[in-house]
Amino acid sequence: MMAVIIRYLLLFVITLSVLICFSLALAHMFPGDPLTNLSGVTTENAKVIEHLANKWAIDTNPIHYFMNYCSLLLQGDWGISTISGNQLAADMARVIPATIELSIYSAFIAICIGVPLGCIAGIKAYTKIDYSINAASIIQYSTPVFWSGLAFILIFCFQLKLFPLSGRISVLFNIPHQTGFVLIDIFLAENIDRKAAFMNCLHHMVLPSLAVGLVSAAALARLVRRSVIDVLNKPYISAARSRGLPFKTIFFNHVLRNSLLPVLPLAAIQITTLITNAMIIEVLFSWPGVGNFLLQAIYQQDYSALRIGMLVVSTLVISLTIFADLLNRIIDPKKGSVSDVSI
Amino acid sequence: MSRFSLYEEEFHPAPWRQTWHSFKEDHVSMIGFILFLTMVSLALLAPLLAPTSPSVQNTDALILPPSWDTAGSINFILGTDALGRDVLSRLMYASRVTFSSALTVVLISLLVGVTVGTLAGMLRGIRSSVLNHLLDALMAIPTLLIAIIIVGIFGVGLLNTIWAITLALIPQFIHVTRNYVSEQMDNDYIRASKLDGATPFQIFYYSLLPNLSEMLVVQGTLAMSIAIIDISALGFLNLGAQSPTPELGAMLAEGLDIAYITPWNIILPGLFIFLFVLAINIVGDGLRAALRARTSR
Repeated sequence: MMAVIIRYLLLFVITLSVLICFSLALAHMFPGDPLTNLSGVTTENAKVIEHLANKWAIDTNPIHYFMNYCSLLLQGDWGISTISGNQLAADMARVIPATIELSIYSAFIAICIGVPLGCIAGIKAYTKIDYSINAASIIQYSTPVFWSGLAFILIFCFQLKLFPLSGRISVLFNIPHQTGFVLIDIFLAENIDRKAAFMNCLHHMVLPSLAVGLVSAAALARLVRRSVIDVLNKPYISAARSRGLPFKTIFFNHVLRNSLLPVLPLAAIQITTLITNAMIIEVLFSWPGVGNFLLQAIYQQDYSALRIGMLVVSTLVISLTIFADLLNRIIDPKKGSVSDVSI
Repeated sequence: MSRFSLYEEEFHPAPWRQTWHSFKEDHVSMIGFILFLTMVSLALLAPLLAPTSPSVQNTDALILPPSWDTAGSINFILGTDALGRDVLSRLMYASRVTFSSALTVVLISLLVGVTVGTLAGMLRGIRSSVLNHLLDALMAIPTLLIAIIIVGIFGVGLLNTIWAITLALIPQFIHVTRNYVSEQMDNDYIRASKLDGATPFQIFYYSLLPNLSEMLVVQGTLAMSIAIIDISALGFLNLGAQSPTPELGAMLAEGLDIAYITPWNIILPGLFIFLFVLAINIVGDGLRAALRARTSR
């Protein structure tokens, strides 16, 4: 057990240093002066340039350069944004929680819709119910997320006027930034109508989380369905049936856990898709997350922000994936056997 | 099927043929296949079929609704956009651009992915372990991020997004190939050909590749649908194809400015993307089912 954890920790450290190395290389690959891309400061002043070159150790040998960069990253001194002049660490602390929040809601929707539908389709395999669930999931899965987001906006915001168009919460609520997760911030905030703010916030997040969550729900339903069908054909299910157990017992005691186990690593791959979709949907719904931040950075050619944004998002995604992998390794008794399930 | 049989031998169709037979029996897959062929021929034959050129601007017919609307005109079957360009012709040329770039992406990443994946699968020991774990980690980086980085370095453009998506898709092919190859390397038929003195390349070419090919087709269809969605998503975010080039995602983004007055300008390009991806997904599903039916027989 310990060995596995250490192995994954090692993997994490190696991957992280590859990413840091890559982000350092990016500063040199992006157009413009590497020093500007690192620090975000544009200046002609020779004194300032010398100071910055010293601070980022840009002219020293590569290993010292890299170590110095790592230590600056650890100290939280990530440079400033070339365009806005904000500290990038503070910017990231603002946008990353917003993206994580959207992803959590979407993942929640995906699990709540995808797993039960997949189970039903798997139990009723090759019947009308199965075919209709399958058809719905393949249609949902084939819809580009930016298109369904637009359709949601046109139908629910403009035609029916049911949901607000953009943002996380109405600007009338003055929520001080504390954790970055707006639902938690509402409960920490003082002097506001918490209930109204909470309802307003829920109202704002329905459409974006549905747009992102439904795609993942469709993918998840397909995975679960296949896995349930495979498990139902196993001999131990026949054994349980021949012992005369009611189907409910068989399903909840034998089928469900065994069929969700192989789905886990494949669902972990879906994390990437989920976050990508969340980043696209953020642009549509003006959600103040990292997708919006990165796209603004690329439109304005803010290379220091791009460098840090790339590092933070990829670190986030990779740590989530490695964690899911580790979790799977720990709960799966047949460890070492990789994904043996298909769609 | 009645056939003359002198020696009472059974008819054994080739593996690909068996797959095709069970694919054909499924009506849904066949409908998907026909839809796919229709979409591809619409894209391929665009210069012959399109009523006008995709960039001709008719200043006397701006934002005309589709022809079934009372305000529509039969000259522009699916209406015109804000610059008076015929939407139908633009859609056909745009699906040509989107489909061909997706095909390029899939073919390049398939070639590279299979090569590296086979090497990784045949390798043993620490080299293989490091390579595999790093690849698994890299697979997690989202396409959008890679595309943003590449666009940051080289600037916007369709070609740059093609490279970005290729880079993002390669790890998937490597992953699938490597898993399959390392699984097969322990089998008896590989050992037999090793004992016969086959070089690693011969083992790959004569023993592994025939088994691998079908799985690669299935994986390829999956990658194709991802590639189409990604290319149009990047076009939609203004990172891919730039304005005069008709591309489905970029068309959607152009239609966005006046989406409330002319909803067909965003509905139709999205519908085209959707139909492409749906057809590819149905065909992929059908192929997968057919393959499963054959291998489990």
